[in-house]
Amino acid sequence: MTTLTQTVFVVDDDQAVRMSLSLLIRSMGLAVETFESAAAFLGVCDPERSGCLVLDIRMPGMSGLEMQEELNRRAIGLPVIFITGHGDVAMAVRAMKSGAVDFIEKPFNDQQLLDRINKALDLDRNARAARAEHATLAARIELLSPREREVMERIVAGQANKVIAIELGLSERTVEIHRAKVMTKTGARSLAELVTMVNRYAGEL
Amino acid sequence: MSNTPTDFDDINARYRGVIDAAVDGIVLIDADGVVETFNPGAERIFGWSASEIIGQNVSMLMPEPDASRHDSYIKHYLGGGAPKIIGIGREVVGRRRNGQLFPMELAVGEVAGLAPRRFVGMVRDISRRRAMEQALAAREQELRLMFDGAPIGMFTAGLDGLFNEVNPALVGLLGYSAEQLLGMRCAELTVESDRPALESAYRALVSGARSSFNCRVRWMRSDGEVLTVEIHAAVAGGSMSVGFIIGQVIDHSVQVRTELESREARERLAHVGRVTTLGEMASAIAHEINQPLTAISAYAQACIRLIDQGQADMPLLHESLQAVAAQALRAGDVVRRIRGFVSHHDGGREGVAMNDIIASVLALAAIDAAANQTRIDTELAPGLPLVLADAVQIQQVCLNLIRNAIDAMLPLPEAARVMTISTRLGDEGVEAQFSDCGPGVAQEMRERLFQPFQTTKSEGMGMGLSISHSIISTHGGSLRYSDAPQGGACFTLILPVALGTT
Repeated sequence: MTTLTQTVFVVDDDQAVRMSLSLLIRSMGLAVETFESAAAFLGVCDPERSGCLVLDIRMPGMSGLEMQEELNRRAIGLPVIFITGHGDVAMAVRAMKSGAVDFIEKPFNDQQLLDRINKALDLDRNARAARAEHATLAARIELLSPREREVMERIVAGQANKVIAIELGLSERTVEIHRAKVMTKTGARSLAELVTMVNRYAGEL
Repeated sequence: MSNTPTDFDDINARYRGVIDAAVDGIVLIDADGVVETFNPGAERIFGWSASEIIGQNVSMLMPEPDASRHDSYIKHYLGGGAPKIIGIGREVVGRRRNGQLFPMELAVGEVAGLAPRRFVGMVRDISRRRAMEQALAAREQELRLMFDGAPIGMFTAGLDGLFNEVNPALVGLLGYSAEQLLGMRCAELTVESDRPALESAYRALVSGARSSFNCRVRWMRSDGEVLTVEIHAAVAGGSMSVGFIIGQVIDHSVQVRTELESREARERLAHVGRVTTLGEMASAIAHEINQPLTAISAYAQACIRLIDQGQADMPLLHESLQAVAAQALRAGDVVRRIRGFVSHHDGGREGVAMNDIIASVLALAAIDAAANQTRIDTELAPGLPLVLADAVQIQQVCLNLIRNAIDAMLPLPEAARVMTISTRLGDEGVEAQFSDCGPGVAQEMRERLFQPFQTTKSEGMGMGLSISHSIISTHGGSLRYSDAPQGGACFTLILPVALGTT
C-alpha cells in the first residue's frame, strides 16, 4: 500500500477540550481537524477520506451516539473512538454495540489515546484496502463469460478438465481453452492463486 | 218517500249539489266507457271542463297501457269476470289535460239499479300527499345516514334510560355489540363514582326541568378500559308525544391523557431545576470538573511531547500554558459553586412544616416509586411544630433518602418493596424516619457512611449521603443511621423546632 494521508477528526462541543486535543494529536505527528458539533462534521464529511473519529459522547444537539447512528445510516465506515466522562458507562456499552472501536475516559493518558488512535487508523486503512482489493477482484471476475465462470467454479472446486468436460457437455479441448481464458482474465498465475482469489472474493461479498 | 216531480227535482238538485260540492272528482260512465257526468272536483283534478269531456271515452283520463285496455276492463267485468277495481278501490295513475301524470286514489262502483249499467268513479288526487311521503322518506334516510355515519357516538334512549338505538361510532367506542347495548342503560356504562352526576342530570331532563344537558363522565369499555366522554343529551318529541332522549357522545380520552401527560411533564420540569437529586447533581459536577481537567492534561502532555521532540517554539508553549492556567481557574469556579450550594446561607430559611416537605417530595418520588414497583407508606404525626429550614434543601435530602431506599430494594421481589416514612416529635426536634426493607448497611460501611465517595452503587458517586449530612448539619440538625426493625436501613433526619412555634 502506498502512503495514505489519514486524518483524526475530533468532534467535541467544549472548546478547551477540542483545542488541547488538537495540539496533543498534532504533537503525535498526526493530521487533525476539529469540529464543534456533529452537524458541523456531517456537513463536510467526505467518505473518501481515510482516518478516524474521536467523538465526545455527551454533546448538546446531536449526541455522539446519534451521530454514530447517522454515520452507520450513511454507510460511512470511519472507526469511532468515544470520549466518555464519569457515569457514561452504559452509554459507552451502547456505543460499542453499535460498532465503536473504542472508548477512552476523560481525562486521558496521552499514550493510551495514541494507541487507540493508531489502532483505529490501521483499522480504517485495512478496511479501505480490503474494499479496494475486493473491487479489483470483482472487476476481473466481471470480465468472464458465463461459461468461463462455470468452468472457473469447477476448477476451484478441484475438478479435472475431463470431469468438467463431461459435466458441461464440452470437449476436453474446449475446457482447456476456457481454462486458459480464466487464468488470463483474472491474472492468476497458478491454480493456487486463482483459488485464493475466488475464495477472498466470495468470502468478502 | 213520494215520487212527485217536485220531490224528484228536489232530490236531484240535492244530489247534484253534493256531487258539485265534493272535493273529490266524481265521474259517471256508461258500459261503453263514455263519460256522462264530470263534476267540478274532477275538472280541477284533470283540467278538463265537463263540457269537453262528457260524451268522450273515459280512457282519455289515463295513460297507456290502461287507456287502450279500459274498454276490455269493462267487458271483462260485464262478462262476469272477477272485479279488479270495482268495489275495491286502489291507487292508479291519472292523466291531466296537459299530459301530466299523477298518482290518484280511485274507487269505482257500479251504480245499482240502472239499465244500461253505469259506473261511478271517485277520484282523489294524492300527488301532494305522495310528494310529502317521499320527502319524509328521503329525510328519514338522510337522518339515518347522519346517525350511522357520524364520527361521534350517538344514541336514542327511552325516558327509562334504556338505549333504543345506537350508532356504529358508539358501538366502536364502547366495544359492545349493538344488541348488547340495546339492553343497557347509560348509567351501567358509567364509572360508579360518576353515576350520581349523570343520574341527576338525567332526572332533570326527564322531569322537564331542563331540555338538555352536557355531562363529562368516565365510561367503561367492554374490555375494562376507562374512557372520558362528554355526553350531550336532549329530550326529543316535545310535548305532543312521549319523549325520548337523543344523545351525542364525544370521546375525550386522548385529549385527557395528553393533558395529563403534559401537565406531569411540566410539573417534573419545574422540579428539575429545583430538586435535582444530589446524585444527579454530583454527576453533573463531575462532568463540569472533568472538562477543564481533560484540557489541562492534554495541553500538558502535548507540551511535553513537543519539548521532547525539540519542536517546541516559545510562542506555542506560552499559549498552551496560558490555556492550562485558564482551565485550572475554570475548574476552581466549579468547585466554588458547589461550596456555595452546601454552605451556610440563612436567606432561604423559614418556618416550614416537615409533613408539608414530605408531602411535596412524595409527589415527585411517586413517579420513581411507580417505575420501580415500590410502595411508600407514610405515618405522619399531626400537629408537629414548624422547623426552621430551607425547604428546597430539605426536599433534596428527603428525595435522596427515598431514592436510596428504592434502589436498595430493587433486588427484592416487587411485593416486598415497601418503604415507610414517618414523622414525630422527639427530644431534639422534629424527626423524619425513612426505613426500607433492603439489605441495610454493612457493618464496615457504617463508619464512613456520611463521608464522600462511599458508594455501593455501580453508577453512584458516593456523594448523596455526604452532601445530605452536611446540609442537615448546617441546619443545626442531624442525620443518623440505624437498622430498621424489619432488617433494612433506617435513616433519621432531625431538625430543631423553629423558635416561637409550638
